[in-house]
Amino acid sequence: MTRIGIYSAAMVSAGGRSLNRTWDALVTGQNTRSLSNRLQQFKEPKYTHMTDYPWWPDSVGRHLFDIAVGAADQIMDNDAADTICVGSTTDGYAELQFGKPQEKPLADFMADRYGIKNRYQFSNACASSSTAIIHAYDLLRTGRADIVLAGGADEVLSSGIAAFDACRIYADKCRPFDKDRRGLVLGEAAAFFLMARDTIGGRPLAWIDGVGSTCDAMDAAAMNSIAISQAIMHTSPIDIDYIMAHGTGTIENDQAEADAIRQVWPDYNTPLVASYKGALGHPQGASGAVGLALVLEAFESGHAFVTDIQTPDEDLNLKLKGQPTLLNRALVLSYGTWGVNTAIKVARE
Amino acid sequence: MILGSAVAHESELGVMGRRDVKFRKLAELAVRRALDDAIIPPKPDNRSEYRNIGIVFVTRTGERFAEMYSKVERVKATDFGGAILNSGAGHCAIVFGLRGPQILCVEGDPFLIAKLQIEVGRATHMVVAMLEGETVALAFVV
Repeated sequence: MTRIGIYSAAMVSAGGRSLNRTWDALVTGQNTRSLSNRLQQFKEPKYTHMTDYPWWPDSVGRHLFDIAVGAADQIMDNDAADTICVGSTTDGYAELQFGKPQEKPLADFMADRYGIKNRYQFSNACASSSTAIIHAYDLLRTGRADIVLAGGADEVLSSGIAAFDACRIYADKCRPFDKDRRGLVLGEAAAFFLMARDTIGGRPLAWIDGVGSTCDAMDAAAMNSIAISQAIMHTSPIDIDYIMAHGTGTIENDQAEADAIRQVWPDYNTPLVASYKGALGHPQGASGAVGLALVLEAFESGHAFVTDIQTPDEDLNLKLKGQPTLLNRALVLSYGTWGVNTAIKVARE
Repeated sequence: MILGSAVAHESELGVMGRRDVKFRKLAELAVRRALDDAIIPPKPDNRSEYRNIGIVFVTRTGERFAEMYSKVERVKATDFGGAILNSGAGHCAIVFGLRGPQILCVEGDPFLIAKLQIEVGRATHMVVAMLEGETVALAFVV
């Protein structure tokens, strides 16, 4: 049976301009958010009106494209891939900020830069990059592409913060799975991968062994743990050692996610569950790609990233501390507004 | 195979369209007609019946963007939902109980995306919906 491998990975985030630097910052417990000057601007108390937010008129598009190619340039040469699959939400926010979309979608910009013919861009809210990776997996599995550049990128825009703030889920600090969690903090990041079938030869960083994608079809914002658990079940998750959860730090997200995980693993013997969003912020559409990149780094180092939690929410009944006995298979979860749920199963061998 | 197709124009929305969100209602109308054309009841009694029907939605436009931008007053939580690009896809999924994959496509061939969902066994049918400008919505069932 043909397997789909991840042969290269790259990332930029508030934690550093490469995957290694981000990983080092995470495992050494640095406050990675403070490394981003742009994010410092949002440590001030909440704004009340959209007009109060600082605007970056030259930012939209230019900055998104900068961080996207900042990651992809690390693994791309011209003609290295025949297809690109990108996930991003910023295309929409650009319209919010300026009343019109960006002149060119991110996928077009990157495809032109790297000489890629086939291009796809998805905007399924915070599950955008996972949707892109799943589509890349489908294209490879069905022989419709040979080498795919897949991933996602998003930047922090004041309009996005204003909107999350209006929903009363923007917090001063993100505390995933913590009893005192109050909400999310946005972050910006890009993560990209070169994916191919195993017939290309060579040893990949990891294999994608299953994907799941479901829709709640119930509510625009409220999450549905049953639909999430169905997405997980589509990946045949019986042998999972580690879960890189969506873990946004909102009360509802973490509760629904924990419920879904416990539905799949009914006893306490759940895999180790982690979320990077307390350290890097919530990179919105790039969430799944960033989670996947960090799982690859965990495989490489043999050390799982563990969420920094002061007062774990015992009611969630999740395994949040310690290290897994084995670290061979992991699950990357991400969900988006309007009911999108995705799960990607990654295997080391 | 295309089992059903439909077009909806904003002039058909009438009062409903003016009171509610235009893009969403346009898409809903087109999808309802396409499902009807494909002889799939738009309102199943048991929503789990449509666990294997998904939707691919093509747009680069958020329905509330212009509204939010022009008001420049307090941002409302209700505006935010419509400012997410996949609000049309999500709305149709909720209205018609489509619990298969929900995909918002900004760039790429939506029919190939839909075909792949069926080919890999993630869905038995897919709805493909697209907004042409701000006045017309097209929908297909494959």
